[in-house]
Amino acid sequence: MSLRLRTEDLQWREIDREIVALDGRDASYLTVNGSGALLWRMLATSASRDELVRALVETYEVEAATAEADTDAFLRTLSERGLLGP
Amino acid sequence: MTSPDPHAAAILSRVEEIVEPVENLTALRQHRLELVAARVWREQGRCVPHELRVAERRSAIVALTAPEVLRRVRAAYDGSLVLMKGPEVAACYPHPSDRAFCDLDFLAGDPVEAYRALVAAGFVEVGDPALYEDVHHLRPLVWPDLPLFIELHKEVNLPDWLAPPPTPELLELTRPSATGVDGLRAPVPAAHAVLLAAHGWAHEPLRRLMDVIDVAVVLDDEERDLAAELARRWNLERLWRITVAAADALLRGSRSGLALRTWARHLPTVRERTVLETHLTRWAGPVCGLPNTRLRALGDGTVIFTGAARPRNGEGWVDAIRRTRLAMLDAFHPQSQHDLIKESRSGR
Repeated sequence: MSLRLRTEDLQWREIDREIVALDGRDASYLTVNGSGALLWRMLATSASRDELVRALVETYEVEAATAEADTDAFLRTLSERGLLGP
Repeated sequence: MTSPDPHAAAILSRVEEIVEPVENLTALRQHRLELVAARVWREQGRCVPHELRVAERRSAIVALTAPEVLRRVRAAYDGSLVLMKGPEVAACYPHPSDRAFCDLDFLAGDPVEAYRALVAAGFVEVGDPALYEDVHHLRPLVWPDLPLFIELHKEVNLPDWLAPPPTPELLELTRPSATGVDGLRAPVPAAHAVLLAAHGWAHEPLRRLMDVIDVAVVLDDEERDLAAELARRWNLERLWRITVAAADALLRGSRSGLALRTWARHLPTVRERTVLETHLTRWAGPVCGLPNTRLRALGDGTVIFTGAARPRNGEGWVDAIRRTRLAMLDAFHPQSQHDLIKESRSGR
């Protein structure tokens, strides 16, 4: 299943490998860095959970189980904040 | 946002050359060039100081916010509104993030009606009302939780020794805003460039390099004649000529004019003004910028020049003479260093 960030009312830009985003729906800001920024960039164009996990494993040389847990936690946060698209 | 044009790209390329060797963060901040420096240094693989990274993040948040606020302003009020400075200028930069801003300035046909409409739509007033009773814009507004001030101008801000151009004419000289926000208008480049130059002089003539870059980036080559004509019509011809000459010398390699060789020598090397240059500038502003009423200009200039040595803010003559003596001793020191010395002495 393909996942991607919401496109409506969500503005973001990257500064020095850090993501700064504005959620226009509730005028809230968030910053994402490190592995979160990597996942954010992939989700901007759409990616599956497996692709996200694989990217973490390859980039940060972590165990698959760790990458899966981190990916799920990140996706859960995005989902709770309504930042994932349909 | 519009895509960068080769004219602006060439100017910024020259700016990057000027900024690249400057290491004094205070001077970079004074010239509003710290974000250009951060970008250039990062591209070169150099370390970007923490405070510049913080400034970049703050600027990014404001830039992300601007379109959102602009859309809300436009939705709240459909009368005559013209966006000036800030994001409108930033949109003309090849890297809009190089040009920080902290407020949204609008020239309004009926600022009071526009103000009421924005408040009715949910914008809230901020700042002490007494501060805005006799100034060129109404009390600032903000959208709750969004970090951008909105200022509705009755007229454009010029040095107090010059009359502002007629607002109805400025409201006509517009085009769709470069920010890309639907229904929003901004001055045509020629008018905008002249207004930016004059606004800069309202604070201090040729105060900082970013003021000059703004004018150069906004002004298309093919609009130069129109800009000169507008400057003439609005009695801003002399300050316009000096600003454009400085921009051409700094950013296009033309010969430096008198200003860059005397009271604006801080611009080419991106450094702070010295005490002497600060005093010269206070004198040179009206003298160089007033329209051809040279007698009055010299009169104003003389008052400012001699006024520097007179008692001010309730001080006595002894203190005034002491202050003047200190200024003369520090004539070639940076102004901020002189201010610190003054503070430490007055604290004794």
